[in-house]
Amino acid sequence: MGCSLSSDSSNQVTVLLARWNQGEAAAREALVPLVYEELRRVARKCLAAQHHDHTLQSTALVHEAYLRLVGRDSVHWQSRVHFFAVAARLMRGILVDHARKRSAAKRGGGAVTLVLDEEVTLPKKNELNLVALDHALTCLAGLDSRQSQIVELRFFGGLSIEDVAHVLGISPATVKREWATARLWLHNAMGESAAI
Amino acid sequence: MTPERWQEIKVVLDGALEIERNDRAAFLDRACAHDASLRHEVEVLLAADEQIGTAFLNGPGNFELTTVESPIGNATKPTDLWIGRRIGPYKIVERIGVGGFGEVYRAFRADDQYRKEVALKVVRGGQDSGFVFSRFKNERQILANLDHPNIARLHDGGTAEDGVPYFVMELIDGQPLDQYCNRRQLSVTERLSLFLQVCSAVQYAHQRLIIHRDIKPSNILVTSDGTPKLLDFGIAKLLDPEISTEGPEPTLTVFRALTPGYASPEQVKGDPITTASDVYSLGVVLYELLTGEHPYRQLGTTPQQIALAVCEVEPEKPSTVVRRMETNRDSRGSSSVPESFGSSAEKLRKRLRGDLDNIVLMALRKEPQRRYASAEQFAEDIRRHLGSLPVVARTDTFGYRTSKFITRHKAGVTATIIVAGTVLAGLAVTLHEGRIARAQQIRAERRFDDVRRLANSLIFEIHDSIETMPGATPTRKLLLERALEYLDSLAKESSGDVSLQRELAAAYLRIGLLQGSTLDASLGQPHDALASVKKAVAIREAVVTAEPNNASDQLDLAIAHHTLARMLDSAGQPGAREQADQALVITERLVKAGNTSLELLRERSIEYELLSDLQNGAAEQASALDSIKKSLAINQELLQINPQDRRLQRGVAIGNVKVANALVEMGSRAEALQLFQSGLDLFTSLVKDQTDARSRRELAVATAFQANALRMNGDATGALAAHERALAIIEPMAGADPQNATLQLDHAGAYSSIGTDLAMIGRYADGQAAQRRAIQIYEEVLARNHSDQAAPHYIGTDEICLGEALAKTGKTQEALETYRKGIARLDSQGDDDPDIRSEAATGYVRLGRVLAKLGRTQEAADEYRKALAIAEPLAGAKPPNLRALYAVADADFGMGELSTMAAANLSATSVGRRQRWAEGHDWYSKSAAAWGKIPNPGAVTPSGLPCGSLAEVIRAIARCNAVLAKLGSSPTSASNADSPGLPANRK
Repeated sequence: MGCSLSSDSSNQVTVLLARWNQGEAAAREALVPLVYEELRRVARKCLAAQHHDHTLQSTALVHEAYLRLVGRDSVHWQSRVHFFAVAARLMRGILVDHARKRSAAKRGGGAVTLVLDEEVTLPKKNELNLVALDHALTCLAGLDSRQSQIVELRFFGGLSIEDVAHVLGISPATVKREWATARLWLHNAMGESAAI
Repeated sequence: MTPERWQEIKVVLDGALEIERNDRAAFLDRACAHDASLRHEVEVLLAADEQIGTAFLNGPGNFELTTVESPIGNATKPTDLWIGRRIGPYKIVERIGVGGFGEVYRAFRADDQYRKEVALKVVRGGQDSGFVFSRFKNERQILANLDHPNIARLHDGGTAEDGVPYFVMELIDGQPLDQYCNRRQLSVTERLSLFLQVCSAVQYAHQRLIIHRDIKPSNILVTSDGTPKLLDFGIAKLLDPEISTEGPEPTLTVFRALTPGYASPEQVKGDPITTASDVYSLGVVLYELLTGEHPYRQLGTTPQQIALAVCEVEPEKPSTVVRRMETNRDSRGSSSVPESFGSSAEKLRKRLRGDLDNIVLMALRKEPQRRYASAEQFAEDIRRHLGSLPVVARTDTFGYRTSKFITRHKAGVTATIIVAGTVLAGLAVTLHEGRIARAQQIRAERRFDDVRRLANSLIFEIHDSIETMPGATPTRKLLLERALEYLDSLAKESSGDVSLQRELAAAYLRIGLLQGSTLDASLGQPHDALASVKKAVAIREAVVTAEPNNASDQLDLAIAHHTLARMLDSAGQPGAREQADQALVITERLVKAGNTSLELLRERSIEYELLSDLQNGAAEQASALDSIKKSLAINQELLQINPQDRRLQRGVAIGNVKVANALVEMGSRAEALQLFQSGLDLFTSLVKDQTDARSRRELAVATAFQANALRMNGDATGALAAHERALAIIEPMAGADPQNATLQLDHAGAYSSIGTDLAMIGRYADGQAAQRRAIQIYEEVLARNHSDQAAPHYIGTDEICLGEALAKTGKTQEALETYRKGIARLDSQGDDDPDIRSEAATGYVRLGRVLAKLGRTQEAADEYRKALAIAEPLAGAKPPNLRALYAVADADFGMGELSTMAAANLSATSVGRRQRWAEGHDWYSKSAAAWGKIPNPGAVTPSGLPCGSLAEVIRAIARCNAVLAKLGSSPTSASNADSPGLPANRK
């Protein structure tokens, strides 16, 4: 995990994208770790710099990772969409992990449960809604995995309706319909998980 | 729901979404003609369509690091959808009314075999449901404890799955007080005796510092046996800031939850509400009971007119009203109020004239302090009247009325009063004492200085005065919001005004701290908290630049830095260390310049403690111990000079406990245990005369730390006793606050620890029971909130402990399953936290051990390898992860056992036999090496998980050496040249 990306892995990504685009499934598998590492790196950098006043913009991160790995003009549109499709799944994992990790309290000596400063009490960790979304999406996948995937691509990957249609090989109209009903379902499901 | 069902629902839903909302019902009639439940499912989702904003999941996927946009809409579902629904454990049967804040349903507890019926009130849309609910959480215990024959019990409350708050109350089958009296033509005396019962209910609540705030005839139901029951105690307060009353009374948004016809002048104006406010409302109720007429309603019908009358107009005497009405009836020939008394107008008028006129009007006085001070005094005067004794109430004097008239016309600013009062109404309401006289200053004018003074008094005085009051959280939250609005507007005009900047910074800091507070989870807004504290830092930096020689400004800046550091750290954000360093640099300079004030030195101790925590988090254990020792030393020194200072006593207590914790991490448990005891002694004496939640929880936490150290030291009996002491503190707190996840996790943690202790002393059955109780509590937390992240982690570790206890009692199959569940739970954390990963590795090790005992050696080896794959890299890190070292040591030992078991199964002459013993020897040696890296290994891992011991490894190595010697060959393998029998690096 160096600070800058070697041109090797950048080339590698371009090649893999091209191969995947030609229908080679193994190329997708090979892409995952490269994209994942880059996404994490970009996300970490973003957090460290406290960009956007602590707002992590997932699609912006995916774009940044894409530019770093693939470059601006070297690959055509279809490859870009494929890249984003991979990135969406990974981004979901990264964001949810991030939310979870920060709220995972530790037991035992490492935990800061006693603080001298009477003024300071520890902020409540409140990033639960993202985790609730993840949970709801997993439930939705149990009912309709394609629909869950559509949400993932749209929400975590920032893909447009048309891009999602392309990735999944279905019509934009279908994506639109599925998206609309998925939103309602998730909204309800998350309401449930948030209710006490 | 099955996938097939979802496809069906989607088809209908798609169709419905395509068409206009108004046409949907007809469409559903056709589409779901034979399937009512399909229709219901679709309707629920369509209702979501109406609540859902376009923003939900749309847009570019912006994540605040701490929050995602709330998915819960505020709109209430259409009424008919509630019937037949289950809300929490309650099943709704039918609608029985519309209350001031929403619908009321008859419902029953579906999980209760007696199916006891209750009234379930759904809070109608528009308000912030989370806010209402968090208020409710705070109030629930207080309200649920109102146990009086004339008060309808509040049983429960919560939010429905779509976020709509609801309350569950005793179901009262009765008529509103006024209807009851009129229909039965009760006499004045009968009415008074009913009214006295209502007074006793109000008095009962007032003694518990609960003000009703919304007393009116429709909130008083009389049952068929003639018992009046007062409904909705405390509900008005819960709903206060967000609701506009609807229903039978006119609506005026500024009145929020009050009902204008019955609200006191101070409620209308937004002045502090006291028990006298309820006395006033009771006065209106009695006025109506005795005259059949409202004291002001004839003066107007709009809420504004009534509000004006409430504040400005003296009501007519009840006897005068009766006479006037009788005259009107003569001219109009309509039915008469006195008829509903079963009496003639003349008799009624005479009965009211004098005492009752005076009593009612005394309750209705504009100035709270001139009314009856309590419902009890009010009732007492009525009883004196009934007993023909002289009453306290007297006619207003002429002088008073004149002065009142003059005041009325001089002021002439009622409208202004109402507007200004509304701003503060929300926070003023719970402050029933005269403490907040300063807040009233805003009423005059909203001049800059007043606002500034107000903001300060809000943040410092009012907040402090209510901080320890139970149930004050909602008010505090509102107070914060209001105060921030003021501050932000002030900040714009503050440049160049150093004294204003000082105030602003202090205010921002204070607000940030309050926002970041966990003890009040509902206030917890880490993002906002950080923003506020950063503003404070920036302003204080500007102040120090403007006045570089002011030591007190510098100290303030250091405080702001350390506060920001603490918050960044606990919010998991970077930059904490830099902030802490800046704070230390500032105070270092001040100390070097000869400053030795108590405040400065305390600040130093706080900074060192903070630094220690940060170093601990960065695995710099030695530096962490050093820093916390410095912090403790400062506090000890200060305490010697100021032995009565409670803050210093607490500082030394915390310092002792934290130094002890650091020592435990370094393996120095004996020294740690002494310090724990000193710390606990201090905490115990602090808690003795200080019963706030924070102190008690601190004592419990410190006790649990001590217990963990005892257990690691092998003293399971002592640990058990200490964990039980911690449980005894936490259990009642958790019971009193079931929605508080932190306390619930503490609660479960105590049970889990007790379970481990019990298993260690061989009480396996009890241990299992305690572990199961812990898992049950964790699962309850998880069920309430799927996304609670601490719970799966804890459940995972507990399941591993439980598996251990099961294995010990021979329940092998169950043990294997439980281990696997625990591991899966830890894995599902999707987390690369080294401690959690190491705990999963420990799970694999324990699983391997049980499999090995069953003779399933191949599977056992697989599990050990999984453990090593996780733990070895973590144990090899710099510095090594302590928990991972335990896992490696045990996995290596397990592999050694597998080798030697295999050797034992081979024939004595087999060539492979010697090789197996040699392999075993290698594994054991590796295990010993891992043990060697653990400073003073404990009887359990630092997480309380089971582990082996160096002693058993050494015995095993000795056994190998003996066998290998007998087999006549050197035990050393190609890879390991260490001298046999001794662990590699324990010289």
